[in-house]
Amino acid sequence: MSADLSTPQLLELVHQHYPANLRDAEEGYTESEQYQRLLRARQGALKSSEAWERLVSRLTAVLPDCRVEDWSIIFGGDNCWRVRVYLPEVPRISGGGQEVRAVVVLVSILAPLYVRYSSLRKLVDRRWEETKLVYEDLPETKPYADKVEMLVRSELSVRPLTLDALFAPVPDIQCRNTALGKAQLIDCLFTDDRW
Amino acid sequence: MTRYVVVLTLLCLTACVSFIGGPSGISPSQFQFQPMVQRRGPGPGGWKSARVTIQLLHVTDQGIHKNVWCPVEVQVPEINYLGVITDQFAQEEAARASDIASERTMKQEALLSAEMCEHFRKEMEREIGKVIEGARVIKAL
Repeated sequence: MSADLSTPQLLELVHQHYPANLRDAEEGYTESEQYQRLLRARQGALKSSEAWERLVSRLTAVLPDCRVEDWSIIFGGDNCWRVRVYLPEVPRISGGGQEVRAVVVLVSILAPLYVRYSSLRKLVDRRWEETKLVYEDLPETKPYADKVEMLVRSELSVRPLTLDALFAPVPDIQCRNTALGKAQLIDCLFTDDRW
Repeated sequence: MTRYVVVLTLLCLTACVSFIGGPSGISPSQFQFQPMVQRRGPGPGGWKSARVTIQLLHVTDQGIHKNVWCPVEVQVPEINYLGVITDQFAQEEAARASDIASERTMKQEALLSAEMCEHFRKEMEREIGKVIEGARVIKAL
């Protein structure tokens, strides 16, 4: 598949894997050729996980002071591989609690694309009170994000998407728990379960 | 007068079906988690899941106003950032999140049945995720 997919091409790709204007609870959804194609794509990805596993091992070796966690849930309905790299610094925040910071990378199984974002989560008394996701560079996480991204690019033949493309609306598709009318490309090409 | 009743229908992995629940909420024991994906190596990993069907009933003086069935699968990691997720903890949190999600969903007046289930899953996932990082709620197929 070409690495230079335009937004219209990506929208078309999504429509090849999700039936339009049909909710997953409605008759015909699971039997649709699009959904069956999506299942085959997920099964195919799960059978060829070597490159991904190699990347996670490299990240673990290169970033020994970080917690590197493989959170890929393709078996559970995601369309991406996912790694979370937790930063070693966990600063205390005013008002109580800590801020847990991670660099997250999602790699699509539908196209040679990835997303990198920073996840800043407020943890108070073992409860996640607040989550902030930042898709642009962030000074707090950039040193780690750069290393992670460099490895992702060197280990996998993938490229990032522009923010405009990532958040392009896909109004006639339901992607997992994101309802018709609310989905964006990132929800369908990767996952709507981002944290 | 309007009443919202949340009933949990437990879909066993075998053929049995039972109806539990009511105004007092859903019992944690109805979420029977089964191993789903084995943990490999050190660190976080491993998944377990529980499949249930939530029945949302909106009862008015005139009778049942709405009766919606939502088959859901709750997926929980065995281990996450905060440590081991025991079955008991997962059950308690699933029940708590389910009750909150049900209440929020039933307050949405104008939703179609399918939209109510989507709303329920989203709300339940949001709630359980506040305590069990990474937990998910999807449509059970």
